[in-house]
Amino acid sequence: MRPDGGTGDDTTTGSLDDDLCVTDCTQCSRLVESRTQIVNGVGPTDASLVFVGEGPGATEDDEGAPFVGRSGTVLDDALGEAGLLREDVRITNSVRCRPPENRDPTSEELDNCRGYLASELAAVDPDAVVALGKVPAENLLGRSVAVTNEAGEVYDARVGETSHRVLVCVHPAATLYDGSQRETFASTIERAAELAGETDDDGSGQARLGDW
Amino acid sequence: MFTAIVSASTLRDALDSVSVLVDECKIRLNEDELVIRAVDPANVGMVDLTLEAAAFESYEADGGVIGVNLGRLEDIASMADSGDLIDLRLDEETRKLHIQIDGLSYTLALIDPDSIREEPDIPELDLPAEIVPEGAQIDRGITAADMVSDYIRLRVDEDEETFVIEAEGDTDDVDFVLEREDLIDLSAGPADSLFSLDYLKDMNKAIPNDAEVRVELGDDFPVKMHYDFAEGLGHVTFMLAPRIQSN
Repeated sequence: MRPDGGTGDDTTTGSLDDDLCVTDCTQCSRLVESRTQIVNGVGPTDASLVFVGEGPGATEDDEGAPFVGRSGTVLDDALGEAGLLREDVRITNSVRCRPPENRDPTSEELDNCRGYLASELAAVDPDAVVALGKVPAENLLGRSVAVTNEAGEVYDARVGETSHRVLVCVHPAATLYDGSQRETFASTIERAAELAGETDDDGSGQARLGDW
Repeated sequence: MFTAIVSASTLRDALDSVSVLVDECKIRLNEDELVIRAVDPANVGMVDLTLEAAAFESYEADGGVIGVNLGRLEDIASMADSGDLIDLRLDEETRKLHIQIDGLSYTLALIDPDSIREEPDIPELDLPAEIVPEGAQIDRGITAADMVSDYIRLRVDEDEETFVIEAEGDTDDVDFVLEREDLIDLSAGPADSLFSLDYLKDMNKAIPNDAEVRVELGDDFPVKMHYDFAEGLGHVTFMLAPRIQSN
């Protein structure tokens, strides 16, 4: 029994999307108590972009899918402006169970869940991984991250056995409290589209060696 | 099979030129040379490094490829004085690199090369201008440009036969003109491109001040910078994509 995290075509048993879904995990006792269900990643298993959030909030916990609340709307809008569809990207979280009162996940909880994230990233093998906010950026890069300063920067990061290009991005919700973050968020999503080869130009004026 | 003995300064100079762009890389241990090619994760800056077998005190290799964490290897190399020799030996069975420096032994776990981002193809570019300054002149231009801007413009004035390094800030400007006689060589051509200083500053860190740097430049094209180290037995080419100038 898994939450409805799959895409429509995953009706066959044993599909990759099934393999990437965690159906039963009790490693974090406090999260087991606070969750309604485990919220797995959604989206194509061959997506060229994977977005990684912090963890499920109330709406996500209720509906069983990541980024379906207000932050999800902000993300969807920015994806649309960058010429991407939500259906074409994969969206997942650093921890798959809702922390009590929406507190940040602890480092132990992040460690417990990292194996699931590493397997998901290794299997999907996207062109780029977008870290949505400070917690996922620090979780993926393994160091402290000043998200506002580093938004739009791309780093190599080893997650489990595989290396991924990680794009640092502000959390979509940051644009709700601070209008000045809107442009940063939008331009970072445009860069994500460019890294995934969906567009030729992210509007920054920076050319890539692949253009020659 | 790979065993080599190399001076600490040569190994450090080689690693420095790569680590300014990436954290991990593949090292190709060819029979007659060691080769590293890497591009930064944003696909803006690239390095192509060759260290000839003759640059080593001894070198034996048969074409294998290893993956290394550059930060760790640099940390180990930093334990040596610059005159020290570093002994490198690959254990094929454990896939570990045994490193010995003056009584100190270090066993470095290697990374599966297949798990490292693919090496870049080097774009074939025929760039119209070639300028050969010293590393110190590039350093001077970059340092001055960094005082006023995040970007640096490199251009050749064909009429004046000068190489011009410029930066425009919000309030202040910098302009550094090198005339033909200031340079080791200049072959003028239409060349005017803008670059991110973040990348050039990093590349500049690896370029020795006394190196002859052969700069190939075009109009809104990537710049190529070639220089030698290890007494001419190590060769580095940096390539950097431009920022496209809107006007």
